[in-house]
Amino acid sequence: MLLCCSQKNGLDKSEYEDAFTPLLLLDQHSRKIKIAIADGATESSFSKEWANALVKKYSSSDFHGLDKGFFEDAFKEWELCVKTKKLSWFASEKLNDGAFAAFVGLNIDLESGIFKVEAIGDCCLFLIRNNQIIRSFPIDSYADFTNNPVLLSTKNIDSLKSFKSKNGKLLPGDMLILASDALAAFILKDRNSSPWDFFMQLVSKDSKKREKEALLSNWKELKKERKKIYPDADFDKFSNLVFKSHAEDNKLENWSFTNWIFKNWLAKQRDLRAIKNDDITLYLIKIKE
Amino acid sequence: MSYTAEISRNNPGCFLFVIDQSGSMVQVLPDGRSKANFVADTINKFLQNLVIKCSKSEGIRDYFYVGVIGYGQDNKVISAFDGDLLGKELVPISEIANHPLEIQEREIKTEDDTIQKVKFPIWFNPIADGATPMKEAFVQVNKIIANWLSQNSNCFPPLVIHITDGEFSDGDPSHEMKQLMSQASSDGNVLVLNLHFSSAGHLGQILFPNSNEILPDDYAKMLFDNSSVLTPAMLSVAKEDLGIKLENNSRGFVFNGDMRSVINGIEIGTRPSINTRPNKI
Repeated sequence: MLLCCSQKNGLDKSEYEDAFTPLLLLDQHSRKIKIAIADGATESSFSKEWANALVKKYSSSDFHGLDKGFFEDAFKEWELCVKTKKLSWFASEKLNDGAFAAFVGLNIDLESGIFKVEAIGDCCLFLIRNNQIIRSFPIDSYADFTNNPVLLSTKNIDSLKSFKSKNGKLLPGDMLILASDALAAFILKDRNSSPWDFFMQLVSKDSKKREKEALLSNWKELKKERKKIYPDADFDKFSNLVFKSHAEDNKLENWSFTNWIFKNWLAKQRDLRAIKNDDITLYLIKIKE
Repeated sequence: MSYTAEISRNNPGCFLFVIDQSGSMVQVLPDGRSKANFVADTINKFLQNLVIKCSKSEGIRDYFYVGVIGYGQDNKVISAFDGDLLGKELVPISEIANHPLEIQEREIKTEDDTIQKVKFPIWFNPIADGATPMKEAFVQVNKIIANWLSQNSNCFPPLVIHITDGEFSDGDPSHEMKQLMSQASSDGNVLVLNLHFSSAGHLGQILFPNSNEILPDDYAKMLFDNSSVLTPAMLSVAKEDLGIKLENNSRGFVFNGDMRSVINGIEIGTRPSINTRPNKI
């Protein structure tokens, strides 16, 4: 399983407005997987909080479906978050417009291989088999990405009706990708050149702990090994950032080598204008052969 | 391709309103407001909407800088902002958000005919006094825009919206207007819209023409010649959002316009910049 994310180019990490089910929440031994990503609309205020509330509710053990109860619980969570803030005249006005988010949720039963995907807006699921996209949901053409997708709104419980869902069956070797819209559009635009090959390189068995140990004690070996795969990455820059962070505030746990490689690749794609400058979230699940 | 630069905090956009505050702006419009009042209300409302658009949970993002330059009283050309923003020419939207002159409470009629109280922040009050030093106004505007471009050379080109109801009193401003339109960022030339409006209602309105042949006099022709050709994005806003189908090469020029035409002109001019904000704005 792989999870990578990045805020928009030029912004601080705190301004990332997507939400995702944290890997830590997933039981590695469970035969059921339930994950989601949500993309808070930049236009609206407190959209990050709305995206977080939706993902949290979907990922929780008491989730029973995308019904009125789901919406009301997510809304209460969002409202609680917002009400604690003292709002200026413009923030109050903006709040009246509500918050909006795109969402895609995936529920997999690993025993039977049956999965269910539910989505609203332009966060997408891709099912890749034999290196081909055989299912792209809810959008299946690059041309269908617009600036005005239908979104789930805090102001309108009826927007739940715009959710679409689909079931499917997984086979050994299948790969599932959840992606927020900018990355989803990139994947669909380039579907014939297998853009997910790069993501597969990032799927590593290294746990964060081993990664940290390697970074601190065996940096030169790690660099030598990874340079074969990523010849263009500036490893010295990375090591400076990591060791500076560790020395100053002991926040090495926040660093992920995998995510850093992903961000380097993303920066190149954004420079080439292959990917729109937007928050990016990628979830990848590879089913064993 | 021009007029495609992404607007962001690192590369903000710029709107500059240039408003006639001469004595003739005291004339009363069909809804009972003076022209000066109508212009002040329209621009104050625009500022309110722009502040809200740029508002996020953590505060205001400075995607835009805005200025309002008035000309008229005592033959002067000065910033129309009042209060904490007094004298400031181009101001980041966060500063505008945090320094309204006052927040009024006004009553509006809703769709179901009930009266609702709404907050109406204002940043400047209407003025209708003095002559029409239009030429001097554009001398100052050229300086403001040149200074902006020197610091933001890759910006989405600034948009200057000029609202007037009469003729200049200090000489033909053609040279200054042409000079303004010749200024440019790497993304294209400065855009100038001239919105001339009248209290005469619909009589003799000419809206966004693509030729000066139908224009009644040299003054109208001068304003037309010194208005920018509408960009494809502006034509699209006119058609898709406002239901106004315009020809290619239509200019950002309204003559003898009514209140709706002035508002439409502002919408057509500003929405493309606001819509180039990334992700669903």
